Amino acid sequence: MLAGVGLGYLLKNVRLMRKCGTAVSVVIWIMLFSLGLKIGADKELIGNLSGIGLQALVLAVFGVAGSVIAATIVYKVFFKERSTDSE
Amino acid sequence: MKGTLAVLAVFAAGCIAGWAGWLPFDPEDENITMYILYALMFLVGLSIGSNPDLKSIITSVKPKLLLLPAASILGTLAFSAAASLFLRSWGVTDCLAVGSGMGYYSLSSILISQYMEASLGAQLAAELGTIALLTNIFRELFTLVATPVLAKKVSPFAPIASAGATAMDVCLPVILKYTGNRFMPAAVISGIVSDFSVPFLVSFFCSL
Repeated sequence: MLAGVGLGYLLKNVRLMRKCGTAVSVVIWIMLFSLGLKIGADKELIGNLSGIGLQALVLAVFGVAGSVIAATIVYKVFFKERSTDSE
Repeated sequence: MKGTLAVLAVFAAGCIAGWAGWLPFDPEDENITMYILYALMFLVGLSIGSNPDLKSIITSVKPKLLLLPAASILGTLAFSAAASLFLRSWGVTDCLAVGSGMGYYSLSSILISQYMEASLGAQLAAELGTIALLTNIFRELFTLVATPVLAKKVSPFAPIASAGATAMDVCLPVILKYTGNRFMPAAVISGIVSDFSVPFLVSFFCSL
């Protein structure tokens, strides 16, 4: 990936580079389709989709809560006094 | 939002095809998917490196602003680790890998299902990858819905942190609407740093 960053930086004026975002999406779609294939072929897993959704919900709630709390502390400690200044 | 639906549609199409037993290629063949993954990582790198604004963003950012994504990522990781106490089937590093997706659901779910194969086996790795997909989609949806409340009642940084990597694209319009345009640099920087951290952090926690 770092090789990609370096090469991308050097080639940033090449028009083709604009298409990179699209290429990333296409490859991601292929991989997601393949992940879906694995999940779909696993009958046991399909039967447990609600359990998976619940676990995902727990992780999402914790992840969001953690980031919101930490970022709010940072805001109150380091940024709030300056918030009336021009940013 | 359209992008999210497209991702879900592709994933669902894969699920149905797999369920129906229609396998255009063997998803168990690690070589193919591994090479696709390398190509993907290279492309992600290319798109970051070729971003025409990269240089001006890096040089114009106040170092202090980096505290926001740092706090957002560390907070997510700390609480994701705590979440493992409630999820009996998964260990701390599994939860950390999911949490470090930072809302970048497509990439994180693929990386996890790929990298965890060695330690968890293909079946559990695919399951954790699906959890990562849903967790990080939930994160994006929650941010889109909760931004007005977060911005008003908690702090202007709250929706930016909650959005994670999506603070710079999908969630940016709604964040700016409720926090004001002067938080644009904060949102974009936080989004870029989070976005950039995903491949590194996810592969790191998968290797533990």
